[in-house]
Parts: sequence; structure tokens; C-alpha cells
Amino acid sequence: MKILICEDDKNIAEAMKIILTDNGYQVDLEFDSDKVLGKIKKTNPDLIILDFCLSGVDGKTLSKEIKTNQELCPMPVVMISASNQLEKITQGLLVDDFLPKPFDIDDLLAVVKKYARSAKS
Amino acid sequence: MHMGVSQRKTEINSPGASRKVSQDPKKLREARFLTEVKGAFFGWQINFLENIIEEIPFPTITLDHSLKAVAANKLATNSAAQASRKIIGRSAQSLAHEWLASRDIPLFLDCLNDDSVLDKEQPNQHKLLFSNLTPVCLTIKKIRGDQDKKILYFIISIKEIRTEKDGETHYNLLGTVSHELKTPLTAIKAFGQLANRSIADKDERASQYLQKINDEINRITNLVDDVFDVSRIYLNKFKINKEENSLDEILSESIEEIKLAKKTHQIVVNGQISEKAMVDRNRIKQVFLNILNNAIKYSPQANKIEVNLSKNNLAAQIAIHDYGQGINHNDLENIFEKFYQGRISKKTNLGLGLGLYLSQKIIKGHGGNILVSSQKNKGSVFTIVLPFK
Repeated sequence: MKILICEDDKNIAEAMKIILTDNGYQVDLEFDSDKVLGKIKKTNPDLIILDFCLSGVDGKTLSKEIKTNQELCPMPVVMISASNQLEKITQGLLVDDFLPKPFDIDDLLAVVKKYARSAKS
Repeated sequence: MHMGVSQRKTEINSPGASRKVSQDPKKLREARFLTEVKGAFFGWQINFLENIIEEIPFPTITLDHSLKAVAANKLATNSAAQASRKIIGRSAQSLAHEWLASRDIPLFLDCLNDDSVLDKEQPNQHKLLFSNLTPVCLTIKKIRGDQDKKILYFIISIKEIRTEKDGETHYNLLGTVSHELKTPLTAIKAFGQLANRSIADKDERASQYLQKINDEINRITNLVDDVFDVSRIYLNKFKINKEENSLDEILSESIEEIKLAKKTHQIVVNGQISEKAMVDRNRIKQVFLNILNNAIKYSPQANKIEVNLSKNNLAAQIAIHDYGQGINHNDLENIFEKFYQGRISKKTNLGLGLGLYLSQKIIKGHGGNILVSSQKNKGSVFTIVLPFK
């Protein structure tokens, strides 16, 4: 299963990559929000993990662009954010799941596993 | 950094003292005010005092000699009503917690309790300037008896030295800072947990240390979340999103979460709510976690917490009972105030004093209430009443 992580904090992105690759997932990183759509089209991931507060094009705009693009919309998007009111942020947003920061490794793996199943089915 | 407290005493006009009449309109207003105070001084009619303080352009209250509030002008009443609090009948200490940082309260109380005339020229008025996050200037006028000169009433005006915009900027900044702190915390937590996974089988002691670091990161995260919530409340952006939920399930989830981190106490649940309620799942969980964690924290000698569930047609009742040393009587009155730290919290430096404030805001936001009762050396009961709809 291929996962694209769009996170502009390099340490957080690196930690997520280690956690997921250690658990058998193939991970791509993208730090530049302006390049995310191009990367999605190029790598065709099974899951996109998107930070809500990206510099440049923000996560909210990106998720809307992904989910309203007929070519990309079946791809599940998991939003991550440092806000503890993420459920409120994601209301009305077209994302499939969310994960508040800071997260436990087990919580990250659980949310990814959920979409790994749907990727296989 | 400790911000200094400056104290100065100005313009005292004791009854009978000679004084120059100024042409300055501000001074004339003050002279008029003091003449009226003298009227009150001779009449001792509390309604007369009420009329006087109504004219003062700042939130103003009157305390009697026992330091209980007996009157408040509309500005004071309105600002307290916004925070759903009453003024009349409350003690000076309780009110001071709303105006001042904890460290400044002793100076304020000393000023009230000090009956001596420190300056013969200016014996009846004190101005206290406090440089807190929200600087305030308290003007305290002491009204003394004609014969024995004992203080009968205190008139206290509260002037916040800031504009509304300053407050907004300040709380916006608090929100941004608490949000930004989460980024390094996320990286520290993730790498800490990765390190723990790598060494768990090889070095048990190092693994335990890393677990402690993880627990402390969780603690910082909770504090940061609380500060963020307080900033949201101030900016009127704190929202409660009600959906149909099972209170039994939320309680059970909260207890399971606590059991993972704290194994010192057994949590016994008596009864069941069964009926679903329209509540914000995460916010109610936040309240349950806060009160259960407090119950454990403040009953270190005990090993049991009881949760009694009951209901009627309209509301569910969740009573959380600890068997600790109980809550000090003075603390009970203020326990839901923002940044209030009780006797034990101060001594042990536990938390910011926001947990119960936020819990009450959340429960009141659902149309419910939290009540507390406590008996010395027998423990405390926090009772949450939550309407089903």
C-alpha cells in the first residue's frame, strides 16, 4: 500500500515515514503544498495523509481540490492537525478521517490500517 | 518573569478634613463623589451607597466590614453576569480571584484588613496597580464610622487597563502559541515512542524512562489544550457540537483510558444511564477524564473511586466520589474559577487551575450543571447533571 504524507514539518514527516515503513507501508513525502497535486497524479497513492496547516496552499483547500477532482476523489484523505477541535474543523470538509497531533504510534497505525483494508478490497 | 506590583495611596478625604477645591472637572467629580460618600457615611443606608456606586464609570462593588459584597453597580453586575456569576454575598477573596493573579491577592487583602491610617493626608483611599496579563487598577475607598472611625464599608472600583482589542490580541496570541507548541510535541512524542519500541526488549529501565517522558508529553499536551480552550472561550469561539451519544459508553471509554495510565485506584461504577443523550462526545469525555483524574490525584491514600449513575425523565446524573482528604471550605467557593488553585494544588504545584473551570463551561454549555460537596477526611463528590436533550 502506497501512502503520500503531505507535512511541512520535516521531523514529524520523517517520524511518520519511519513508523509506516517499519510496518510494511510504502511512503512518499511531500513538504511543499504547491506540489502535492502533481505528486498525487504522479505516484497514485492509496492513501493521502494531509496536514491541515500547511504553508502555501493549506490542507483544507488541498483536500477540497482532491475530493472534487473526479480522477482523484476515490483516494482516501486523512487530515492531521494540532488543533484539539479537529472534528469541528473537518465538519463540512471532504476528508475521510482525522488524527489529532500529537498522536500515538498505535493511533496512526490504526487509522492507516482502516484504509489499507479498503485499498485491498 | 515576576511582574512588579506598585502601590500608592492618593487623595484621601477623611470626613471633616479640610481640602482645597480644584477647578479640574475630574477633581470636581471626585469631590462631589466624596461628598456623597459622606452622605452615606452619615446615613448608613446601603441603598444610598448603591446609588453612589451606580454613578461610578467602572465596575464597582461595596463590601461590608466582614468583607462580603453587599452592593454592585450595573457595570460590575453585567460583567459578572456574562461569566454566569453573582457578586452579592461573595467574599473579597473570592472576587479577588477574578480580578487579580494569585500572587497579588495577599496585597489586596492586606490593604482591606489594614485598618491603620498610614498617611494622615490620605487615609481612606488606596490605589493598587497590578501588572498582570490583564493589568488592573483597583481603587479602594474606606468608609469609616463617625465616632470610632472603624471601617464600615469598602467601595472598590475595578479599572482594567486595556482595551477590548488588547484582550482579543492577547487571547489570539495564547491560542496561536498553544497551537504552535503541538508541532515540536508531535515530533518528540513520535521519536520517543519509536525509541521505546527499539529498546523495549533490550533495556527495560530505559524503556520505563521513555514511557515517563511520553506520559509527561501527554501532560503538557493537556495543559496546552486547556490554554487553547480558554482562549476560545474568551473569543466566543468555543463550540459544543451535540450529537446523540451514550453516556455509559463515554464514561466507560474514559475509565479505560485512565486505567491504562493510573493503576493505583479501582474505579467502581454503580448503575447505568442507558438512555442516549444529545452531547458533544469529546467534550463530555474531557469532563469525565478531568474529574476522574482529579479524584485520583487528590486521594493518594485511597484506592477506590466510586461513580454512581442515576437519571430521571429529563437528565442523567453522574456522581464521582473520591475518598481523599476533602476540599478546604474556602476552596469550595472558588473551585470552578479560572486559574484558581486550591490549597493542595498550590502546595503541590498541580496544574494550571483550568480543568474544573473548563468542565463547568462544558457542562453548562449542555444546559447542565456540576455540583460539588466535600467532607474533611471523608472525600468529595462531584455531581454532573446532564439533560438528555
